[in-house]
Amino acid sequence: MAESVKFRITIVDPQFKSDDVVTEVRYLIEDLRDLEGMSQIRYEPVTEIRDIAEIRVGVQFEADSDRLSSILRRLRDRLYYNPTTTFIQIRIAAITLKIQTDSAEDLMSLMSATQSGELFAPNRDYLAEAETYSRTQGELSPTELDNLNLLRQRLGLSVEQAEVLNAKATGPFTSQAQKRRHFDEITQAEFSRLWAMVSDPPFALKDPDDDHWPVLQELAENLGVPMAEAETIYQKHQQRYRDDMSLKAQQVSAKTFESKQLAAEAKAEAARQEQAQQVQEQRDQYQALCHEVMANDLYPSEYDQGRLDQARRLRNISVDEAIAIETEVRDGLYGSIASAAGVDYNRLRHCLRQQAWEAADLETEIAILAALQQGQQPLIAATVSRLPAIDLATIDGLWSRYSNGKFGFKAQQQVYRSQQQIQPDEQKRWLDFLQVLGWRDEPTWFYRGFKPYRDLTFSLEAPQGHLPTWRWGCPSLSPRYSPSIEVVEVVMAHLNHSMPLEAAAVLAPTQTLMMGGLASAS
Amino acid sequence: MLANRLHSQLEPQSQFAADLDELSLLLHDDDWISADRLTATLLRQAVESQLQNSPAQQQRANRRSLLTPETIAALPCQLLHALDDRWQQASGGHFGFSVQLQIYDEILATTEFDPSLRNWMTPHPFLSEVGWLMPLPLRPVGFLKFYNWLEFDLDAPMGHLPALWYWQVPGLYSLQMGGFLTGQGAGFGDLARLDAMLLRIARCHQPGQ
Repeated sequence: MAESVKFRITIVDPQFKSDDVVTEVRYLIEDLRDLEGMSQIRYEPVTEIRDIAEIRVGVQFEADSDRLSSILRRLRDRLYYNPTTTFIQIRIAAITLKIQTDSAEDLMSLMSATQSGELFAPNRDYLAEAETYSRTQGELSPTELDNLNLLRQRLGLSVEQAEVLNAKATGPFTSQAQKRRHFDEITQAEFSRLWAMVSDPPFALKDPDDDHWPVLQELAENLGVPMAEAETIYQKHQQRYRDDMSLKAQQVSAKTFESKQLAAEAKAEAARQEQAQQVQEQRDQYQALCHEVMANDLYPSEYDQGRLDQARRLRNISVDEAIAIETEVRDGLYGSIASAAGVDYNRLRHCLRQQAWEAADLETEIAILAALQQGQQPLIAATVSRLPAIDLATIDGLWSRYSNGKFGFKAQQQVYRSQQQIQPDEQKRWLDFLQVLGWRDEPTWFYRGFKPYRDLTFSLEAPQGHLPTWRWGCPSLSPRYSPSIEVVEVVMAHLNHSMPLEAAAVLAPTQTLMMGGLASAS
Repeated sequence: MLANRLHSQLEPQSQFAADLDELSLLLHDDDWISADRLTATLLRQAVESQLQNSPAQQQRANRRSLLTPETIAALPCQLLHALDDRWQQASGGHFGFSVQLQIYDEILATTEFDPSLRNWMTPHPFLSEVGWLMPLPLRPVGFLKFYNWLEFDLDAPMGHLPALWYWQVPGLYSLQMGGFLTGQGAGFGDLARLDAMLLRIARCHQPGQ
């Protein structure tokens, strides 16, 4: 194990004069002699001719390799306290180390090298072989290990030493697979770091090539991973990173697009709703005004019409819409005048509102004859089906509304129904019906009780269902008003079909309530 | 008559126009009685074609070509307007259905008359107003003049003509009304027919007719 190391140390500081050099050498030898086991060594002086005199400028000696570190430490200490330019030559077997310095630090690195023993033959040779092997494939194959084992035996190294050297040669990762895995992990870590950096909002796509490949290349070199493989691994990660990146970019853009779209939709919806609400508000205001001006009269005064027109312009309501609102309000206040036959019931409504019962009755005839469209001929059995249910309901609604349910077709229907229940004979039922309605007086022995139209009662004192009369079903009204039995039958059948009493019965209470409300309001 | 009817079926429009032209001629010649006869004929013809159109009614009303309240109520407004128009024009607003309607409405509005009085002694004031009542108390009041007693000139009371449409009633009916097979002549006025005609005129006065 122990090996001989040849030293040659000379003082070459140019500031020193010859005397100083000799003194220095003497001190140097003394220092070296002080070291353990160095007193027996023969120190051969190194001479040099300077200023025509031969002087000792250094010393050369041989020492055990064991002593190497202590010698170097002493030399270092000397330089530390007294920096003198010194030339040191160390020869170990075939290696010659030469160093000329005046600073202690330079020797430190040399010391660490000597301490590991790498400078010495068996270790060094073994390590060299192991490193060569490990470089070739990045790991030690079994054959190579076997070769190294043989070498170890030849060099006389212990198994432990060999293992230490093997580990040194191969580095922390003994096999190629491990190295690759490590490189892989590192690359991955590198990319995750990058990913973490870029994936936080604000999201920015960043290409990794610039910063990372050179460093990773160095790592691969250091690890001994073949460059091709390293590049493959790198590219794999890079690809994954880019995929992630583009996916993320897609997601982000999709998300932003979606959110933008959603936001736009929500905004549009809100705007629509707001607009609708605004329009509705405007409408409501206009409606309220309509209510106000029509509260007392069917048709607003000129002044109120001006107000309405102004309000309409102010609220940006079209004429048609305004008319619709006015109609709605008027119908709500004064009863609907819907017609399927194109008949205008305004005058009828107006007459009924004025409680002008006779005029309203005439208006009813005009309306019904207009609805029949039969050349003003009165209603007969063949034409009864021409009366639309809507028009009948309108007429009935108006009469019943303004008479608190006393007049109207429904009132007449109810009377007829009660007559049907008690009188099976058609002829007698007809006469009784006319009598109950007050269209016919009590018959006497030579008088059948019929009376002229103008003797009917045009007031609220009339019996239930007295009005409207059915003058529109009579060819003459004087001297007797008497709708024929045929007309009564067909009209009743038509009324029952168009406005069934069952529905009317359900409606009746609310209608009465409404009428009550109207009466109290007015 | 038959030829006339066939003709009217072939060319109803032109026949109608020709009849009206004839009426106009008669009226302008002051031939009031012929004009009155033609007017009654035209109305009866209208009722006939009306009954032809509805055979069910025809069977029931075998008193053919008669103006009953039912048939009057279905008279075409166009015809009534045309007749009325010519009568009014020729008489300067003295004769015609509209004039009669106006008088009828005024009387009903102003005088107290109860048509249901069933008192044959009380004639309808319209009848006396247009001068259709018997002037002499030959029989109890309330009887109509014989048709040929009517005045066929413009000195007659307002609404005196046209009148034959009212006088023409079947014999049995005439007897029932108190006449001597002389139509309405010497009989009580049939107020239902009168009212039917004037109600018809009123209905035809509605706009659009």
